[in-house]
Amino acid sequence: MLDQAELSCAIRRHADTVRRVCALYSALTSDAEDVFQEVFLKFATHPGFESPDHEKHWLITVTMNTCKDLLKSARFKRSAPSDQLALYASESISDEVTTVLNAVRNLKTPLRETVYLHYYEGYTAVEIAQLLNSRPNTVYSWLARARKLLEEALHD
Amino acid sequence: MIDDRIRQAFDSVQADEELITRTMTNVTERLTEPPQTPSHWPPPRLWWWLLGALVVVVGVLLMRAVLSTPTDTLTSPNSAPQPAASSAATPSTTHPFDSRVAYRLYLEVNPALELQLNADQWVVSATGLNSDGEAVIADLTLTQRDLETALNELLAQLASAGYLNSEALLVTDIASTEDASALMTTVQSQLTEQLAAAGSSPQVETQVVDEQTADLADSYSITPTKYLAIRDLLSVDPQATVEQYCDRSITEIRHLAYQHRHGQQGLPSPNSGSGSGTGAGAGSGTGQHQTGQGSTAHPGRHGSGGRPS
Repeated sequence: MLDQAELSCAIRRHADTVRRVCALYSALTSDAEDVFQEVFLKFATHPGFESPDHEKHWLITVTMNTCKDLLKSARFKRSAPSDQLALYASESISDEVTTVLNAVRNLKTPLRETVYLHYYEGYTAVEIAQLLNSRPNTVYSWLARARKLLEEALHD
Repeated sequence: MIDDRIRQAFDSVQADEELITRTMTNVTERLTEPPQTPSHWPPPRLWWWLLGALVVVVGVLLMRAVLSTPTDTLTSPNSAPQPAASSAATPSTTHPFDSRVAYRLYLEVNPALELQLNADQWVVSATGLNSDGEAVIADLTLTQRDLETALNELLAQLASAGYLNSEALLVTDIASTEDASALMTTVQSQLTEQLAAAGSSPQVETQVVDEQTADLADSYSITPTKYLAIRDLLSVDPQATVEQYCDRSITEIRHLAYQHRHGQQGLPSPNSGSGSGTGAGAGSGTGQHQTGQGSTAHPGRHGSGGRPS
């Protein structure tokens, strides 16, 4: 188990990644806070990672699963009506960013995860297939559909 | 173009310092918490199992308690029904039963028997004075029962055996050194009540005799009334003996005495007519001789108290 210093360092190192994955599912900071606690608690008690990439893959996967659990929870369904998803908590976010994030968030799962992993994290279709427990060709198909939907949503 | 917009949008999403600080604090607190012990021990499911096991154990114990109940306290369909008064009539076990004999009660309706009673009018012993009397009481438990219960069972047995028909003569004698008037009243009312309830209408005679007469009757194993009837016969037939007439019925003996006195047959019976007090015991007993349910039947035409055909 990590000591406090190692845990602080790890949280700072991966906080932005976890926050971005959270943004795929919910715009609310309170939800992100719950996800942060769960993810980093599991991270702190994890026996160890083989490599930095493994660590990052593990964090992304656990964050996605935690967010999905949160979306399915009764508390989230009561407190987060769909119209609130269009709002983002941070005041520093511009309209352009909000528009793009909402467009990605409006994609169905697993299209939104595929878009994030490919366009932001730079994962290949093969890596995404491993992360999402699917096949590469299916990931290519998801990427094509997602790109088409995003072009329609973001077309001025 | 879309690639850049997506990359720029996600670049703008960053964890603020407050979120990182709170996460570090909360995670650290949760990591340093002592391991939580289960709030319920044993767990709820185990409680249900224990409750179920307890119910089963109690059920088994109840079943064993019911099955181990002595059979004599259970009502068996083959067992004879106990009289309702029998349980109430049992003397209290807190006081010892008084077995001192205060009264002797004789009954004869062909079967002859003697009940010895204590001062509380509870039966101390029951004795058959002839073979029919022994047979009647053989199936009955009369001792340590009150007189009412004993008479009830005795009369029921006599009625079921067919002795208490309308032509029978039921004789009861009471012998005691004490005042027997209360007992006589009790016996008379019990006989009247229970014979009426049983639908029987035999001729009934009840008298109180002295102890000496009762002792003499006991020496011949007959009832005092029969002894007095034989004595009456012997007064007119000196050659006869008591033993000679012990097996004869009271009605027969009286009829023979009547014949000796009047020298002919066919005259009215000495027992005929209601309320007649001219029986063989007249003048020999204590004078308390009562006859009930007068019958016009002639004793010579039938054996009094004989078992009906």
